[in-house]
Formats: sequence, C-alpha cells, structure tokens
Amino acid sequence: MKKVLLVMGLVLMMSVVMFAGSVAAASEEAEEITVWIPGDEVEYSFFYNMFEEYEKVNEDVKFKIEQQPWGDYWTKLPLELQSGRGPELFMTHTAYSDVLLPNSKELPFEVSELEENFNNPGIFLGENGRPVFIPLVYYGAVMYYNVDHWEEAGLTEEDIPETWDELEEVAQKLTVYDGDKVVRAGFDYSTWYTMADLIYQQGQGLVDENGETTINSEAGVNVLERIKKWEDDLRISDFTLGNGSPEDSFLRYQSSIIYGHAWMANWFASTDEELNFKAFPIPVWSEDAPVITRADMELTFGISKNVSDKQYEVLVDFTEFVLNNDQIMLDIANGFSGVSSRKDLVGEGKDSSTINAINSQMDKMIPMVFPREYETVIRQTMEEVAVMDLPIEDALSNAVQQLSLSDLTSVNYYENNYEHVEELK
Amino acid sequence: MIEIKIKTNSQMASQKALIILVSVLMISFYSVFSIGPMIYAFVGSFADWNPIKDTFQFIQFNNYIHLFNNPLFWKSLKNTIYFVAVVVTGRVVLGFLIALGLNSIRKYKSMMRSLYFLPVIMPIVAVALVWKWLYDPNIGFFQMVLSAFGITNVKFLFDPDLALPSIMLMTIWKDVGYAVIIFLAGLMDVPQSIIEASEIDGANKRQQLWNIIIPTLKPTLIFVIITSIISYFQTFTQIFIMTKGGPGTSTHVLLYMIYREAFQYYRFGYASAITVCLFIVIMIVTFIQFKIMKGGEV
Repeated sequence: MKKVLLVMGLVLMMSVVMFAGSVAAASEEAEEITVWIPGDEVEYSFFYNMFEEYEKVNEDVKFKIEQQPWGDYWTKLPLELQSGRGPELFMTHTAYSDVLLPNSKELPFEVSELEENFNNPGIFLGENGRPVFIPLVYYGAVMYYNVDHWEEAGLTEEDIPETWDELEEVAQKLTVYDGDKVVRAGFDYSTWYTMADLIYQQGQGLVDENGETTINSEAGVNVLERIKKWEDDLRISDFTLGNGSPEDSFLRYQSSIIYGHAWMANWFASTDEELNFKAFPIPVWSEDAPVITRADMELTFGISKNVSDKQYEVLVDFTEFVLNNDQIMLDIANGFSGVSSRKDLVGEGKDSSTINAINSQMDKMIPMVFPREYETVIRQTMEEVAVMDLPIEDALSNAVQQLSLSDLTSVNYYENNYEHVEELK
Repeated sequence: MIEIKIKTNSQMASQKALIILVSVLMISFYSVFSIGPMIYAFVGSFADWNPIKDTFQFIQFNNYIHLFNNPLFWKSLKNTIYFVAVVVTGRVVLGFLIALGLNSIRKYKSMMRSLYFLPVIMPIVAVALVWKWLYDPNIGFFQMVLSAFGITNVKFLFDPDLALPSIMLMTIWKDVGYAVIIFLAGLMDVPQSIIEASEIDGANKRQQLWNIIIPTLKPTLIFVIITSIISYFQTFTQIFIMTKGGPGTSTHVLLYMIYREAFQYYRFGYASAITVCLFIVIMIVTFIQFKIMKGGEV
C-alpha cells in the first residue's frame, strides 16, 4: 500500500511539475509587445479596443500598453527610438512624422495594391518606397457653434455662414461685451491653422518652388489684415480668450463660434454634457477657393526599427488585422469624427454634424503635414499682430527670418501631390 | 617604535589610495556628465547636427553666423539679461529687508522664517501653474482684485509689456525665502559687541546698517548675488509653463530658445551654438563678480 501511495505521489508530483513547466513554456512563447500611447482608455478607447480584439484571436501575443503624457511623448519617443530603446509599437502623429519615419520600419505592402482599397495610402513612404504609416482616418478643421448662444441671438440654421463676410455678420450678433472688453467672442479664430487655411483659400501655396515660405505673400498680408479687422474694427474676437486653443474658450462658454478640429467633437461631448454644440464646414474666402482646409489624418501605429524579426512579423499581422477589420476602422473614424481611409467605409460613419461637415469639404482638403516650426511661427505671427499690435510687415519679416533655417520641402511635396495643385500659386 | 612607523606608513598609503580613488571617481564623474557633454556640445555647435536623422556634418561657423543675424537671439538675450537684473535685485533687496525685519522681532521668528521659506520648497511647476491661473485675465484672482478698484482688462501674461514682469514677480515671490534664510544666518554672525559699542558711541540705526551690518554681510551678499545670477540665466520652467515664450516672442529667454531648437526642431547644432553663447555670457558675468570679490578682499 505504501508503495502504491508512493508511486501515486510521485506521479502527481511529476504531473504538477510538467503542467507548471508547460504553462511556463507557453508564457515564454507569448510575444510581448510594448506599446506607447499618449492618452488613456477614455480618450482612445478605440485604440485600446483594437489591441484587445487582436489578443482575443492571437493568444500568443500580449500587448503591454504604456501610457505617456502627451507633452512628453513626442519629445521622448523619437529620442528613445533613435537610441535603440523605446517601444516596439507606438502611436504616431502627422506633425511628428518627419522625426518618426527614420526610426520606423516599412510595412511589406505595395502602395499600388493598397490604393485599390484605401485613399492616399502612400503619403508616408520609407526608403524602399513602401508605406511606413498608412492613414486610418481623414479629418480636419471644422467650425463649431454654441447652439444656445445661436438661438439667444435669434439665429437659425439658415444663418450658417458659408463665406467669411457672412461669418463676420453672424459673429457680431453673438459677441458680448462688458464695457470695452469682449467677454464672449462671437468668433475665436486663435489657432494657427486659421492663418494657414486662409492663405490656401486664396490659392496661395505655403512654400514656393525653392522651398521658401510664402507667409509674407499678399495672401498672408490679407489674412493678417482680416484678423486685425476681427480684433480691432468689428471687435468680434479676442485672441487671448482662447490664446491658441479656441476649444478652451468654447468649453468656458467664452466664445460662440470657433475654428475647431473634428477630433474635438467627442471631447466636448464627454467633457461637458450640457454644452449644446454643432459643427458646420469652414467658410471660404471666395467660391472658387481651390482649398478649404488641410486634411489631417490619424495613422497606423509605427513599428520601431529596433524590433526583432518575429516581433515585426506579429506587428505586420496586427496592422493588417486593423486595416481589414470593418468595426475597428469605423470605430477609429467615429472616434476622431472623421472619414475612414478605407474606400468602402467612406460614408458609413455615424451621423454627426462634424462628420457631415468633413464629408462636405473633403474634396477640397489638402493632405498636408507641416513642420512644427512652421506651426509655431504662424501662431507667433498671429499673436504679434493680434495681441502685440506689431505692424504686419514687421511680424511677417520676423516669421521669414525664423523660418530661414527650416526645411520646408515636405510642404512642397504635399502641395505638389494635391489634386487641385494647378490652382495653387 | 618600528611598529608604530610601519603603521603610520600603511595609514598614509591607504589615505593616499583613498585620495586617488575619490579623485578618479570625481574626475570620471565630471568627465562623463559635465566636461564630455560640454566638449561635445562645443564641437556640435559647428555642425548641422540632427540626432533623430543621425546627421552630423561640419558647417564651420554657419550656426554662429545665422545666430548673430537672428533678431530672436538678441531679443532672447536682452530678455534674459532684463530678467536676471530685475529678479536678482528683487530677491537680494527684498530678501535683505525681510531678513532685517525678521532679525529684529522676538516673537514668532521661527514661524515667520518657515513661512517665507515655504515657497522655496514648492515645485516650480506647481507654483507656475497656480500663478498662471492667478494671472488669468478673465477668471484670475488678480483681475478680480483689480476689478474691485475699477481696473479692468489687465491681461498680465497676454500683455507683451506685462508678461515678463509678471513672471519676474512670481519668481521673486518663490525664491526670496532662500535669500532671507541666508541673510538671517549672516546677520547672526554680526558681532553684538560692535553694535553695542556703536550705540554707546552714538551711532543711529542707519549708520549701524551702512557701516557695520552691510560690510559684515558682504561675503553673504556676494554669494547670494552670484548664485542668483547663475541660476536666473538658466530660467526655463516658469517661461515654459506660463507663456511658452509668448505673446509673440515677448518672453523668449535663451534657455527656452535652446529647448525649442533642440527638442522641438531637433537642430542640436544650432541649439549648441546658443548654449556656447550663454556659457560665455555667464562666464563673463561670473568673472566680473570674482573681480569685484577680489577687489573687496572677500
């Protein structure tokens, strides 16, 4: 009996050891992928969800998601990747594509094949002509208005402006003053892309054939004069209310119409449930404007150049999984209030005034990636004119000087690839 | 006797070894973390250097030529010097006056000392964020107070003439406590016997201040001034948090310019050229300070 018990005990022990060993082996085989993302599950639920969905069908892959603060993320990420550290997979951004591209692996897809199903899949190419990041969603600037303010001023949907002249009229009815002070701006334009878009709307490209800035062109002067008119003559705006972020003044109920961006729609809704707002397309300088605004995009996650062959294989499969999954692609498009890059999903997004506005201006949105210094300098120039009362010529001269070291050839590249390029100066 | 001699020799040997070890460690530490990077930055200032694109190409003096032709550099330098001059003066004068006041009171001395020192130990990021709110022209505390006196529409950080002074005020408020503590320590060293002797000789308070207290405190004064000048030439955090160099470029200082060039535009060569210039400016100012110290036999 003792012998039997001893044998049974040994068998049991061996089974336990073998089971434990197999579990350990299985977990050793699981490929762990570190992912960096500059936001939480509330902000980017659709991204977190795509990892979960992939893990469900690929049990041997485990994503370790590391959330980084937005501000640090874009400084830290390129330097980490360059030094051979950092994550295997990371969220990208068009504004930082120039510094992320050299540190990311190309995807093994041919642009010509992708073009059958996707709009503009070859915007971010690597050295071998293959895509590094593929657009997931197209979106961009829209105008938001506070519906309650609108109704209080006796305005209806019929009054939605289509030109800047019309907007000025509407904004005058919406502006509220306390003595001399504008306490609620009829229109907050204080983001840098107001100036960029308004230059484009006049048919002026933002760089010349030599890659030099055209911010000091006649179109640039016209925009700054218009901004002065909004601030000083019509007094429908106060740059300092939004101070570069009109969405902030909108959330504080200090502006009635803002130059916003599609991604803000969900953010407004989740931040303040009582904020009653809608969107409409960006007004135009003239009816024949060749561009209405820039097309921004959200991209597939970047694959670090430092990944192993096995990790690369997994991450390519993951990217394909995302691009081919209808629900994930639609969730991402809806999450940013944009239009899916997949041709068969265009028009399939949720019904919202923001997505409708994007859809209506889509054919005149120029896919564009600006170098960060161009954005900074445009904003500075607007501030110098609107806040500091610097003469327009001086502000533009400063801008040209500050951009003299900048490599603006990427702007040239995107402008030349624009569908209506022949209408741009 | 012989044993004692051997022991002394071994003690000396181990002491020597310790000195060498500590020296090697110190030299290695400074070489790796200070001297090495300084040389690298100096060499890099002559190059088109972008670590992200892995480029490092010598371009001779081009970075410096461009820098000296860039109005933003001169504006940033001017703003930096303006900032240093006002904040150092404010910190030293105010710190000295508060220390004198605190030194003369008998009750609640420790409590008052702690109170003045409290802002010094607060993180600058937190302080800058709170003051940014205080300065808000629409919902800020200062605007509310001014409105009660009929003063409206003061834009503080959004006003190109007020933005830098507003940041200076915040910096003085935060850092004055440090000077107070140092001056208080210095005041304790002023010999009471001399003060009493001067009183017997009929010296009034002002005469005591100018002829006894200030000369005795001169080393402390110079220490506070030099350390303040060096640290304020490197002002960055409050500018980054409160104005990001704006409105326009009205609060641009050299360190903010270096940060922007290096970590936003990845022009490390150009940023290194600005760093070398800042280094030279600080070196000149420090040299002048040392000359003054030497002249004053400090």
